[in-house]
Amino acid sequence: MSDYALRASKDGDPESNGPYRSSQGSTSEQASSQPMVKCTKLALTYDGLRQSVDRISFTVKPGTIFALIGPNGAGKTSTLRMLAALVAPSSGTAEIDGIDASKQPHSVRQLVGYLPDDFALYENVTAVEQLRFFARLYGIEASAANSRIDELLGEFDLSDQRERPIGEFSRGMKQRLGLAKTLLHKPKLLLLDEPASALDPGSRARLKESLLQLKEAGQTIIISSHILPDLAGLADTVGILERGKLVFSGPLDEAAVALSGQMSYVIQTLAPARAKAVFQAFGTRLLDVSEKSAGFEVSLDGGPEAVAELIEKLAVAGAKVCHVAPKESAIEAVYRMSAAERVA
Amino acid sequence: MTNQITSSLLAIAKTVGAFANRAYPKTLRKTYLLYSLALVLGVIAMAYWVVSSKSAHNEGVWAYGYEPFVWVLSVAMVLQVADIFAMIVLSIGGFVAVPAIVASVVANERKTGTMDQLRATPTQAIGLLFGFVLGVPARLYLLLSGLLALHLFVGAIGVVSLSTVLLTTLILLVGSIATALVGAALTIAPEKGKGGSSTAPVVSAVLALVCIVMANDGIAWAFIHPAGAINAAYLTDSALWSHWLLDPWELDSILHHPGNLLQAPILALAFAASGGAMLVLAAARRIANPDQPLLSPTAALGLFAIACFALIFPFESHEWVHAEVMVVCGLALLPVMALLLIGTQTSARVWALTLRQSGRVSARWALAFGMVGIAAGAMLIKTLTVSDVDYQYAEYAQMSINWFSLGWLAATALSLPIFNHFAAGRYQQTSHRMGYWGVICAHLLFQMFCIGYSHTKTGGPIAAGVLLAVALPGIVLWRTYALRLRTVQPASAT
Repeated sequence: MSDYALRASKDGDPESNGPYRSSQGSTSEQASSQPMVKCTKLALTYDGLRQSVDRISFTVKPGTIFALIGPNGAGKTSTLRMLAALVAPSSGTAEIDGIDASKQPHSVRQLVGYLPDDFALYENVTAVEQLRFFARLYGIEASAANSRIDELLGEFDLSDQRERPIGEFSRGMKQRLGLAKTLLHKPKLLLLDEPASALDPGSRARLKESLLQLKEAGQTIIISSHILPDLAGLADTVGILERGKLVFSGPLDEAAVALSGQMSYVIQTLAPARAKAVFQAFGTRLLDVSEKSAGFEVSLDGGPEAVAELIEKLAVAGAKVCHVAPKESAIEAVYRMSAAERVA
Repeated sequence: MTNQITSSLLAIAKTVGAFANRAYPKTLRKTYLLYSLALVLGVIAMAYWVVSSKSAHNEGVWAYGYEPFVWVLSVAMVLQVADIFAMIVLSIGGFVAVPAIVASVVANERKTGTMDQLRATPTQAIGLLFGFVLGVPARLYLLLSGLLALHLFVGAIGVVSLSTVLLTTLILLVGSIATALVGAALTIAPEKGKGGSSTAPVVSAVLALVCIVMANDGIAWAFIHPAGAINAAYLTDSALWSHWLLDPWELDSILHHPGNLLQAPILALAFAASGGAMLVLAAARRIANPDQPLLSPTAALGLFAIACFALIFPFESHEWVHAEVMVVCGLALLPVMALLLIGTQTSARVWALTLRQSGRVSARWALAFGMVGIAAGAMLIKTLTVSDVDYQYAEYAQMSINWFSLGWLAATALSLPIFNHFAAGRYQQTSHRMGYWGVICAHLLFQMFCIGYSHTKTGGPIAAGVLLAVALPGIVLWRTYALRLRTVQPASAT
């Protein structure tokens, strides 16, 4: 993946783009000044009745990962399909690198790599035949395509599977091949729809690693999921969809800081009795405490300062703290708090 | 403009190449060429066996009033028979196997979600469509290429006239593409996840049936299917074809209408090309946006016009044509109308929802009625022309025109709202759909009833039938108006 990172970082360099990137709409100067994705009151209605996406607006900066989260049926896939110019919005606009997806769908498709949740691969062809076919559809010259295919198969650890029919692949391998196929034409924007669903833990970790490396290389990624731990440590910005509406959108770190005023932590101590005494004496900033097999689950009001003060007091009292960790990731906290606000 | 067309054609050619290579890697090409050669040799060997066997038994065919046809063992005769076998295989391959392959591949692409992956590429929808039609059956095309070469060879050396060979080759190519487009369009028409895998065999079976029927009879409507047109082209030229493949009485009947034989191939080309062009637009539209229906109202009306022309045109082919053929034409037009109207919707609710756009709806309806009116008018004019030309049956024709034609065609035209309403209403459940078809069948039966009784020259049932045919659409129009009110209110409320 490091090789890919190096090449992808040269996106603005015309030589690195190759002949099949010539149709892309904007210069590097433009790219730096404008968001990679800009949705304005984007809406999708099926059959004129069923509102799948309800006038959502958000932007995604270049080189960042935007996580689109929400329960099943929230409108995540519909949003991604509109961004991939696979379906025209009923109203509103979706601009990819300054190009309107509904007005210039073919230009947008050249900029976007879209991976659906089921990867949608031809089962009866080999990995290399699959990639070669799509390379031709993307208009990549044969020699450039062959070297790109070798490169991607190598990066996704599929070189020794190149002549094997895809029907014999494991789900993790299919997911990697799907990602390779999506990256064939060096898209500026990757749209990944539930890419980790039904993957084993090892494949999930590998996917996360790949996506982080792509991000380091400057790749803009929009990833949808309803499995929040998959997105922890990955997303820069988050959008929460519910019943087609975007109920929250913003940078994850800011949201996490804002929410850290009320966060839960898991604290393990070697002297639980002393720890309980400290908790009782801590005052009103300790909102809730419960003893679980993994340790104490503590909800605190007051942010990182309150946590630091509690740990210090535990140490002074001889409670011997051996482990402190947030109970949930920032993205989970954002989602939980967002849901709680809506309920309230 | 020229540059744009050239670049579009080049892009389509590249896409076709991509699909052909996916279905058929370069490494297999030599193997398939060898198979193709083996097929040619097999056909020639079979032709030799047939000719030697027939000539040894001194078999011949005689038709009343025509020169007898006698089998003689010669290179020319063997090649003629081989050409017939080749044409049969080519027709089955082109008109049955190719659409079946295309339909099954399109259905599979939709089922597995790879169609969306194809759409996610910058390839134009029309390029993808031609990729399916021309690229996917690449193996079959190569397999049949030897037989096509044999067909051209017999024309080049004069065993069969060159004009016939070129004409049949053109029909074969255009017809294969047109029938493949039918397969693609019918498979892509249903909602995603519905009818995919079952559509392909149904489409191929229907096409096969039409092909067989048209190739053996129905010279008047031969141009509707390219197999019929090829049959007509050979009948005008090849003595072997006409004497060997037809019974003497059939030959006698068919050769009474040399005009039909001559015009069928040209009409077939025009029919396949115009219908194919409309299907290209329709299927490309559906590929580009699967949330849109297959047919735009204009495309549906255009196809309806072509269908009307195809059914109305050959009226003069039989003496008994007038009332009976009108029944057949009308019966055929109604399902065509229903199919086309269904093709204009993604789901049963859509038509009702389009009623919200009141300005457009009135124009569409006017256009729809206009087209049906034109069809009815054309049918009448054609029938009147027949009655003038075919004077010996003028009395019978006049009788047909005055009552059946006018009343029945008006009823047919007025039945359009029934399809509009029931196909577009809230009739989502199975029982409602059955009700929809029940009403249509009842309507059809009444029309047939009227025409049947009109033969006995009793006017009462005709009046009743026409009244019903007017009353039913009237009720439907009223119901549609009520439906529109219901759909408009929530829209204006929001």
